[in-house]
Amino acid sequence: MLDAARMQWLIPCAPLLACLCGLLFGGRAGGQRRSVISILGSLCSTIIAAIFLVRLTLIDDPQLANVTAFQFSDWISISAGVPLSLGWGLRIDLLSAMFVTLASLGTLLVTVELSQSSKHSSSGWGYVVLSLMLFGATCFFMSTSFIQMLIGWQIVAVASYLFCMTQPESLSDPASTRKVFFVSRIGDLFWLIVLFVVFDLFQSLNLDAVVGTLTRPADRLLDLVDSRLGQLQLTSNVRDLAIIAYSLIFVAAIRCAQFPFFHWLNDGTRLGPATLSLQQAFVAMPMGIYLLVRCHFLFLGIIGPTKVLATMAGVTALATALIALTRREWQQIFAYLGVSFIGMVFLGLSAANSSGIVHALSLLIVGGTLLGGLILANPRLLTSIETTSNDEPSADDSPAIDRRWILVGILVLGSGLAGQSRLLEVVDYHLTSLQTEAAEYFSTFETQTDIAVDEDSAKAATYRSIQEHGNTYRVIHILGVISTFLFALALLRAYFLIDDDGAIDGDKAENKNMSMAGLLIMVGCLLCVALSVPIAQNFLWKMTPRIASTGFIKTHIVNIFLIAPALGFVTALAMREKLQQQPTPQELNSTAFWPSMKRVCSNGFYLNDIWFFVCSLPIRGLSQFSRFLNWFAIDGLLIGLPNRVSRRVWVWAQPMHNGQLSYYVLAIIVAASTLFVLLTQFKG
Amino acid sequence: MGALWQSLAQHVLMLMFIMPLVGACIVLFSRNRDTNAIRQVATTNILMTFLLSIVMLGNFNYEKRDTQNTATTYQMVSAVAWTNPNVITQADAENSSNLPWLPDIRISLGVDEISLIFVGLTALLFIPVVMIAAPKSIQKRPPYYAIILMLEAALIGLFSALDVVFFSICLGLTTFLLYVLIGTWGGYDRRRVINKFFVFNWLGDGLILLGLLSLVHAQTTMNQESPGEPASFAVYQLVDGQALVAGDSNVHGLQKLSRTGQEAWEYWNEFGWWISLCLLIGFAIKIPLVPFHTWFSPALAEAPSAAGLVMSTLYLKIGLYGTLRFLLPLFPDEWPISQTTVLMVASFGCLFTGLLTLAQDDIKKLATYAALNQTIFAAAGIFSLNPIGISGSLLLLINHAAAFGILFYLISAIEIHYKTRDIEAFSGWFKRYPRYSGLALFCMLTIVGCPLLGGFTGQVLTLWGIYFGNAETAHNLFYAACNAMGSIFVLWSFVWYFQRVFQSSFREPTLNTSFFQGTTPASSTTNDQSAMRDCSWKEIGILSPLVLVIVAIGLMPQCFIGHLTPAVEHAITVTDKETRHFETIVSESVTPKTPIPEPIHDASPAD
Repeated sequence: MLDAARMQWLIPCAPLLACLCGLLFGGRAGGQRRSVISILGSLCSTIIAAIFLVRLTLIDDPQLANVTAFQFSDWISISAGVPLSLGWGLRIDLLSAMFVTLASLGTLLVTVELSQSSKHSSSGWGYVVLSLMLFGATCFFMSTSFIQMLIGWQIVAVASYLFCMTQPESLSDPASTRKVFFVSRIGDLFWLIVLFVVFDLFQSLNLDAVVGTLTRPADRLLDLVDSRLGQLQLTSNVRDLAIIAYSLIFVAAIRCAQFPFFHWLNDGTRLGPATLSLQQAFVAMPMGIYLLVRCHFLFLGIIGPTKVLATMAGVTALATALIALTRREWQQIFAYLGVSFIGMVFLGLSAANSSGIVHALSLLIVGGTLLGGLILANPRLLTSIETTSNDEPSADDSPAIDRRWILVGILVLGSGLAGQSRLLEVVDYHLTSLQTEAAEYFSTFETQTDIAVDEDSAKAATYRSIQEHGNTYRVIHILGVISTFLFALALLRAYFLIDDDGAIDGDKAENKNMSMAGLLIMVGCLLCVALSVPIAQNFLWKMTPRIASTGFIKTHIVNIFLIAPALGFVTALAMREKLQQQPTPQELNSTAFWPSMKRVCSNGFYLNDIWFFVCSLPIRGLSQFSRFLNWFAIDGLLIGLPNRVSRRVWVWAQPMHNGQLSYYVLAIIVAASTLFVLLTQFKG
Repeated sequence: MGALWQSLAQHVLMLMFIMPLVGACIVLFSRNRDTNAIRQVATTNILMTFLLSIVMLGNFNYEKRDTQNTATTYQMVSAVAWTNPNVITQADAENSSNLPWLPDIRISLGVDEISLIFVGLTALLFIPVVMIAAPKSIQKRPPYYAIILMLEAALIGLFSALDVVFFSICLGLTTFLLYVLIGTWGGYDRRRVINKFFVFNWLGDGLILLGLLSLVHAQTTMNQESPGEPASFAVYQLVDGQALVAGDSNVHGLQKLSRTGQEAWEYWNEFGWWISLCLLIGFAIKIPLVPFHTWFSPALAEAPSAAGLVMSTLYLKIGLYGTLRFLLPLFPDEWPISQTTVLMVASFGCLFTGLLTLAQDDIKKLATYAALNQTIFAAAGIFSLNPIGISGSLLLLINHAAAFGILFYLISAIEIHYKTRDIEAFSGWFKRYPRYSGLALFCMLTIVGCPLLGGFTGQVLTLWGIYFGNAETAHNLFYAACNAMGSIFVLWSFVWYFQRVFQSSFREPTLNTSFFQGTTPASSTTNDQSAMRDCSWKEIGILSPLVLVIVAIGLMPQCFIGHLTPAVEHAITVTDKETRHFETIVSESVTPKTPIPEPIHDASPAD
């Protein structure tokens, strides 16, 4: 019987071995063999991770307490100057076990699905890369140091890029995959900043050492701040901690396609392979969440980054759900819904307490599984894989989807009930309790002078910040509630893209059970909406006087806005047959205001027209904004501008580089001027 | 047997130096003009040199450095008197009239941890250099292989030279041989390019020679304790005042000598600055730092494949090796301009060359600018004066040599076959040539810093050093960001290049002769598209040691760092100590009467 420590080794080693075996022993017709090897590797990791998860959650195993983290190798050790020691190690705790299980299970599902649909006609390099990706993910989740986390993070990015390369040309657009890879590398710059500042602050990159420098993360935010003050002198290091926090947030936001960095997802999902979307949902996005959860102790006491995180998450949850509504491609709908889900999870993390984090994680698992199931159940994606693998697609090869859709329906219920509603409730509860504490704290001072005297302490500053900004969090979380409705609407729209005979968007498929599956989705959405409305209203009634004083009418307008989609949903359900008369894509994309209004006022309105008024106008604004940022931050700054600059520099410099006389004249002038300035400075 | 082995181990460096020269003589004067025979002789010779390098690596005592790191420890030192075979006795030294008029210049070879790496890399990289597919017009000419062999000897001599004049001779010889290679067998535009190559490099070599000779002169002038002592040209005597072989003078190192008296101090204060300026500009041209970089790209683009491989991998290292060997330990304080300014120039150069990489549509030029970018990146790490940064730079340089060695080997196959290097002319090579594409992908991944490969380790540590700087500078986030952005531009260029050449549907250019006019025989104009083949297993076998080096740096960097750090630490320790001492002197020298700094009372070098 292997002991726990050795089993821990096997989690990353199994996919690594699978990768190496696939690389070395795949052979020429290695598609099938490589798929089997990869499945075995993923299965092994899944089983062991699940065993750990069960033992850590259900069984109070004393043996595990001693092996949760250990260091087994010094990777780099330099004693000169400030000593630097970077090592390899593994950690398995509840958090790691949960994420490793999710990633390995997801990879297993993807590998199985890919192997079933591709019929082994390809060389099978995709399986090798999938194993490499799982290895990187497990290294990341089980890492004991920041540098190891960075390595795992980058391996997954590189493996995603390689995976796109191994896919058939019709499924993978090189330009989009290149863009995704590049955006990921930009995130790595922030990673380096994290490494440098953490080492500067703590003289170590080891997670345990850093945590040891701080105190044990407490449940309550203010306790943590107070305890840090003793050891770390937070007031002097708050800038460094803020840099770490902002960098981590940007790293996670870029990987998880949060606002305003989500626009690259459009290219990635529209032009990238569908299986990559699956991997994004199962592996890449959970990595961003894990990063914030694992490192949350570094910036819990700093209000600024937490506020940025909450704002970013709220806007993302809303905007991407809106964008999902306007999409007609399933892959894009699910991708944007996935990002919206992650936005909700980020909202939970921004609550900055253990309850919020725990429920955010539960939402992640439910949501990740849901979206994975949705993508797996999407017959078009699988058919497209089939089509590419075999030149002539056959209707007999279309996968059975009825059971998956039932599973999806159940997952929708689960996510709606367990995840979102609970998360929102927790966030609200925590904010309320914090504000109560703050009020009690300030009530202990008799006069404002006393408060001013105590103003220097971080405690008073934090309380004051909570009082001032707490309601901002509430507003942001209300955005989350709205996004819940939009999420449900997007699923509803996805359902209406399916005809009665199971065809998607006009294509005829063979499966007849699609309507039943769609009905289950609708039921799930309805329950989700029904449960979320009272919770949202609960938010409103619990509002602090500042919000409540905005007026009765405004409050009810918000109520109407919240309830309207639900009413629209019921109406849509009743008029289902009529609503199935989908507009053409040209009509859908039309921004003409009056023709749409005319249609709404006339007898035959479409659901799309309602969506146009409710969703399209704000979404177009947000989308344009995001597109602008994308152009500026990604296409513009990182593609267009440097290219243009470098081309111009090259045009200017090329004759000089070729040794023309003008260059030498110019070089002599520049050198002489430089030398003159330097000599003057030096001698002066 | 044991004595033979011991003798071989002791003189292995000299053998490595002589072996290619002997091979060159055989190739030149052999009556056999058979192409294969000539090539086999050259290959065998280079393989034997490589085997000797393994002996050198195995024989090196990695634990020999003392715990105090008080001096650079050269091993396997072997010296042959060149200009003055007479051993100077104590009586000769006392009676200056008996001193020989010739300077004591020697062919003196030895390695420490840093030069060990460079000599090993030279021996390793010349295997693909000699095996590289060359046009038939080149293969039939024995001088081509003779020059290749002499080039190897010159580089081995350069990286292991312990005599400054011998170092300069090897430096000049390397430049001259490359000049001949490019000028004789280069591309269409070679005549214009070689002039620039020659002017820049001879200017750099001249400045370096001038600086090194000035060092010798300075040591003689400042040697107050034993005036009349003959000038020593040995590196270790100039730096540490060590005596390693018979006949070495009994003198202090330059830094210690400058602090032994008022006159010495004033002399060093006055002339040291100019010497270091000479050396700095000379090495900046060789690195090459912006704005001295313009000779590199055109020369490499027009160079024959073998010369291009040498230039992109080994020739680029000369400037940085010289900086590590002379500039850092000899001039810890007398930087002509501040260290931050040099770092700024290097960081700007990294960014600039990254942008230039992005602008290229020529495969070879793209790789050229990427190689330049990585070298300047490593230079920034060295100029950070941080031990972690310097160690990272050395790792980056090793990875650079291996990765670009493979890459230029691959590019040469395209260049020789298609006579074009236009990126747009190629597409979809991944399906048609999987092994070739796999190797190119591997190179790309390590160059762009993929984890678990050498590039990642080197880049992270180099950025680390640049960010933290030395103990006296603030954190250089801006310079680190500049270098990181330069690397990202290179990444972008490579990913784009890979997308265009290796992905999508297959396309290859039609053969033309315009590129190699004047050197390509008419027979190569035939449209034999099938002649281009995927990498053979033999070629993969040739390149596999380089692949192993890259993987080893990525997975086990400590094996390299553990051996490199003592040498780096020695240089940094000297720098720190002397800098502190120097600051004291400078602060006191503002008073009207400059006090003499405390002499350093150490044990005599001979002790």
